[in-house]
Amino acid sequence: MSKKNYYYLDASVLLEEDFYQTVQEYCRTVPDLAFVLDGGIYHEIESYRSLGRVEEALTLENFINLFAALGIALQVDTAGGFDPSALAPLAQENLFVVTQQQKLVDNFGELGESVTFLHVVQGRPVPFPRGISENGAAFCPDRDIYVNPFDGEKVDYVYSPRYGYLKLDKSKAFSGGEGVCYRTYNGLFCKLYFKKHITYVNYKKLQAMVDMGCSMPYISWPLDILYYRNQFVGYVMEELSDTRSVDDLRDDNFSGFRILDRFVIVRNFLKIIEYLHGRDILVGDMKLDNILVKPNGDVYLIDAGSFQVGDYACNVCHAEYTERIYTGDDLKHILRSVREEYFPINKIIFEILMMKGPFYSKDNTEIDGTGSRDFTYPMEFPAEGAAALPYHYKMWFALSPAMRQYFYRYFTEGKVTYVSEWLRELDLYIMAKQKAAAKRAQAEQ
Amino acid sequence: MDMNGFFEDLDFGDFSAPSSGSSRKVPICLVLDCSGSMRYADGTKRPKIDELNVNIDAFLEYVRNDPKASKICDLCIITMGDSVRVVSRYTTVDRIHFGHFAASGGTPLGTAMKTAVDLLTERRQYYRDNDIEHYKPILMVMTDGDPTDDISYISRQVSDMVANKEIKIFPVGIGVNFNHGTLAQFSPLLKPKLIRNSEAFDKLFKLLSASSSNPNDDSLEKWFNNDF
Repeated sequence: MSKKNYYYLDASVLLEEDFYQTVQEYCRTVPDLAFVLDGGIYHEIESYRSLGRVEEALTLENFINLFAALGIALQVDTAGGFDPSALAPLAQENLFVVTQQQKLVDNFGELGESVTFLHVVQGRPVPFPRGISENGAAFCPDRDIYVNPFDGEKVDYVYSPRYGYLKLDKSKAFSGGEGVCYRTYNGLFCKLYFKKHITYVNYKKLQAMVDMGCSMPYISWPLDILYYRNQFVGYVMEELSDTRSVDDLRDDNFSGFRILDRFVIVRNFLKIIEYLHGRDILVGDMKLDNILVKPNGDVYLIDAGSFQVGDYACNVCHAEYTERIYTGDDLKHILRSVREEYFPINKIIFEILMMKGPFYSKDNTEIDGTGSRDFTYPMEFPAEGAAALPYHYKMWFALSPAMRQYFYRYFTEGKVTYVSEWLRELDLYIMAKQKAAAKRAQAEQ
Repeated sequence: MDMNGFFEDLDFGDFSAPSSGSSRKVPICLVLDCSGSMRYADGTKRPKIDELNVNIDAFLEYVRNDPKASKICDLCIITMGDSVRVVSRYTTVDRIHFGHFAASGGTPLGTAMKTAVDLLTERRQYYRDNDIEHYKPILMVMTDGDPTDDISYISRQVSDMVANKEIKIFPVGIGVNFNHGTLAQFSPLLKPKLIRNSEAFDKLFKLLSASSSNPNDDSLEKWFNNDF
């Protein structure tokens, strides 16, 4: 007896333009066909409606009605794409998962080799591209033949082909892992590398970044390469003023910001990450010090020169914010994966919201101690009620159930929720809270 | 209880912010030798006790003025001489005030280290009770001579704590006649660093300052390993 053909379709793929034509074609050409929809689709419809995106909501509803009329659809629950066990019986037959989401490929992979992942390009289903979770080899020549390292710290002025000679304000130095930054007297900010980082690879990377440019105003992007007596020493960027680092804010319990502002800060931060990941750029050395916040909640990412761009590696890391330990040699030779970057992303947004680390507990008060990286925040609301809860637990239970799920799945099972999904959930949440606040203000008047 | 309903309508109204002292901490404990022998110069430009006073002042000044260190550095100072004296229990530097140390008496290292361990245990409990995150505690012990009390039990205990990665210890021997083996008993991982001149004193406290404002800075450790 021939096997049945199950096509699991998620909302992301149903919303692709002209996807109904693909559905029609499947109906015409595939024998023993059944479509599989996720129960979560009703939540998606609700979300789109709350966000005022009626077209998406209607499209999804139309598909549901269409499948109901055809009578060849069944519904499963995968807990928001995290748990594929409901699909396991279908995987015994022919199961095709059609999705635009990397998350499903990651999480449903455990169903085994028999499952085929497809995504839609220009209305046509094609095999899902190779996983972006693999590490690649970095561009790293054996010897840096074109650059003679010298001590960039000692210079008083530098030259940029674009901005001309720049005098450095040496009254204040901003030290980092790879070099020292100084202000200029005309609103620019210069990074001068330490000797060991004045390398051919860094020079080439910066050149690529300068050529590439950046349309996202919230990244302190290299604007030009800096030279001293024809010798490459660093790069120049725009100066940022009136900002505080998230590291500083965390030690101050984000004073001056309301709780909802912290959700806005997280959203603004993730928008930057979405922009970078969309261009195959990883932050690499992601840490609290490199994220700056203005009093209005605008977020800026600095230290762009250390980003991983194409096959130029990021040469620095910060044990507290990396999933695995890299040696200095690894950093030069191995490209990091998008998947790895989700460790600092999850940890940082967790810390901004809860103002405690994800591995903190009464039994594990030490940051990044030998104590484990065990996630102990409970999913069940404690019976004794909210009043007795410490602040970080109150915050935890004030997240939306989906956000709690995202963190829980990541820190306990390593299952990633990608930035786009986070952003949508944050938009919904922020909007709901703003509405509630407006309603309350109205009632008080 | 319906937890989502409970919090949904709150609009965060009932959230009181956590207290200002509840942010992250770097616990640092200094165990300092103020015995009679610290009166002599021994390789340094001035008497060792004066070197210590000058450098402690500079260290406290740095921590006071550094915006990050002043918030996160949780400092405890213990001296040993005529007796073991807790100059300051763990606290932020703005609350630490004392005059200069004077040198006299013996070196009750065992009692001083036991006091350090007791105070750290107490502080850990405080962190737990008040939901305070902290980086790995740093214990820096400085002495110029042989102990005048028993160190056998406490050195094993401290050594175990270091091996279990509960604390980081930085053992410092001062002067040209220092007995290396004594401090080594407390430190299974790092060899004691010998400080034999004023420049080394200065360097030690500068690196300690860096650790106080950036707990991820490992330059102090590298200097102890001569990997600098």
